[in-house]
Amino acid sequence: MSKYLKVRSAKKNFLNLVLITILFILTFSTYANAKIVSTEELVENTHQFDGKIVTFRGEIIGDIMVRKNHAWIHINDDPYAENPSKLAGYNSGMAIWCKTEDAKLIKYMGNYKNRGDFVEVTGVFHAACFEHDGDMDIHATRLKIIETGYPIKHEFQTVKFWWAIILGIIASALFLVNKFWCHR
Amino acid sequence: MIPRPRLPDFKNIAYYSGKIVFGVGLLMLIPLTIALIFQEWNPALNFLIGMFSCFIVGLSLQIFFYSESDLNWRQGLVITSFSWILATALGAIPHYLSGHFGSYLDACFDLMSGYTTTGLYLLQDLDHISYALNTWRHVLSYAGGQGIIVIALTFLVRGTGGAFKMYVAEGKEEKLLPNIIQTARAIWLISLSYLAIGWTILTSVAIWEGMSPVRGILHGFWVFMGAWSTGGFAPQSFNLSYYHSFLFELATIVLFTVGSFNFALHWAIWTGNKKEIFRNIEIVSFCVTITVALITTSVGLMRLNVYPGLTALFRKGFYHVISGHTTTGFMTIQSRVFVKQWGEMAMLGVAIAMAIGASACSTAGGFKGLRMGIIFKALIQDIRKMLSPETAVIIEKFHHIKDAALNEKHVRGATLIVISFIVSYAFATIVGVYFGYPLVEALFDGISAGSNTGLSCGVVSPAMPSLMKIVYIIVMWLGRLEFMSIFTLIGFMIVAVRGK
Repeated sequence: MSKYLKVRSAKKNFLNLVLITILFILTFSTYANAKIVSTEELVENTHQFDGKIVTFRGEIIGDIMVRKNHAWIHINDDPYAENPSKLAGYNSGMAIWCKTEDAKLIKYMGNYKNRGDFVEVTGVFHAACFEHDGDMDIHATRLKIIETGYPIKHEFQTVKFWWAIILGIIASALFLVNKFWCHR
Repeated sequence: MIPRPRLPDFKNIAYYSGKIVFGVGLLMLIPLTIALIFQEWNPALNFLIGMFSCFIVGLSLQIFFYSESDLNWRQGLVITSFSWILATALGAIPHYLSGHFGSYLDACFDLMSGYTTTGLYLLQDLDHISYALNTWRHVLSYAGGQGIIVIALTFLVRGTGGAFKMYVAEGKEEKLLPNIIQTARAIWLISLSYLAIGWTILTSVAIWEGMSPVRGILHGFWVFMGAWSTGGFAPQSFNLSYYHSFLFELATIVLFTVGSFNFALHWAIWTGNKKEIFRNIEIVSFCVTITVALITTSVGLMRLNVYPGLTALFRKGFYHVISGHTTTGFMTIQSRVFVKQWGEMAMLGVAIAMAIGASACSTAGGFKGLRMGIIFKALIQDIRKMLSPETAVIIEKFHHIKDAALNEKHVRGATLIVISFIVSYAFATIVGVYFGYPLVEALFDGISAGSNTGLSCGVVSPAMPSLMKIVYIIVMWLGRLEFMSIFTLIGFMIVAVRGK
């Protein structure tokens, strides 16, 4: 009886090991094969990518909006997300639904004063998400910070300052002329 | 023979245009204050330069062309259309100096889009603009929705008979009160009251949905202005889909629908005539046409099985139909989704909604419900005439604030403007097709620009040919001022050059 149990247990262990190995290989290969896609590719080929695992890269912008144990974040993948000095492209990006604990890893969100963290997200793309009433989104299974953002230094523009002073003086003079000369 | 413009004509036009440009400069105090509060020093300089430029041009025109004479109709119409060009060119200074535009033309495009409450934009890297610039974009919509002439009438122009002529030229014909200055102030009273309510609601929802209090307050302020003015500018590049909130979307639907109502209707309800909302021809017309557009869109979406479930259909399908019909332009999808997922049938439904638009004397664009109602009533009248004995006198009535018998003047006025809108939509579409855009896409964005809506299926972008940007600027301007004042400006210039 005990011999029978031992054989059964060994079989069970072996099966578990095989199952884990298969799952590991599948998961690894899925991530390995998950193509890095752009917003344009996703939007232009929704049927091709709908329900598939994709990898998406870009700059985190705006806010992290926490909803219980998940959060909404937004990633901008325009050319200026990778090269901030280059004004090209036209405001493209993707909404990401991720775990709150992953969202907490984010240090900087892109806005006027900050360059947001540059991240890589892997997850399932939904052309019209059932869970989120038709939103186009990616449900992230992995969020990796490639480059931490930083505060943007806006150098004070002295030339503009002097222009403002000169224009201000002219405007004030005209205001006085209008008030005391035209309306005498 | 049309008389050649004389010096007093030019003096009056320049003098009052100067006042309006001065008013635009004063408006820049709002984003300037925001820049100072949030310590955005370079944007503050951009607004100082923009504001002083407006003051210099405005004051120079007032000094060198000082005039005390009252306006005639021709001058009133020309002032309005001319001052919109000046206000666009000068208001674009802070936009251009921000460094977020590929050219000054792109900046002017966004300015005209803001004033006309269209909501199309060419601004790049929207998610990194300053709070001040974002405020300016939305203030433009809010001010443009009420009318920049209305602002000038409220604060800068003393009671003149000519004030009414400028007011009418801005696409508003209805006097809420006997005095036109009081009417302008009543419009502001209505708008500012809704600002207090709408801002509070949107801020509360934004904070509830996970935004920080400061960002929630700012987003509430910006989105209210975009909604109430049926402007459609949104603070983030994801537009309204940024919030992922059904509650936020519902709040905006209420705000932009109410914002698209005729100010005369608002005033009637404000002064206790609540039944007006059920009897008014524009509301009846709006209900009928939105049903037609909604059915068309829903059938198109359901045929292609685009959305899973009714809630999704409401949040995407209905939202865009009502956003289009009120000519707001808020979006909860990406632009290209229209083409890639929705298909032509659903796009047609939204295009119908955009083309018709909302109410006359409101912040909205398009044909307007009043005109649709009048044309439909005229059609009914003609059918009844054909079915009745020849001696019968058929009188068709409609209700808009008060009962009125339909006459030739009503029908002619409504038909002329609707035809002008159709020509404007066709013009924008033809230009789009000429530059290689597919017909459906060129038509969709062409109607959106001409009706001052702002929904886009991806045609509008900084990569658009410059000529097409200019054409869109023109059709947005035509649609907002409803043609006549611009036709008068063109005629005025021709007569000034030719001599008669």
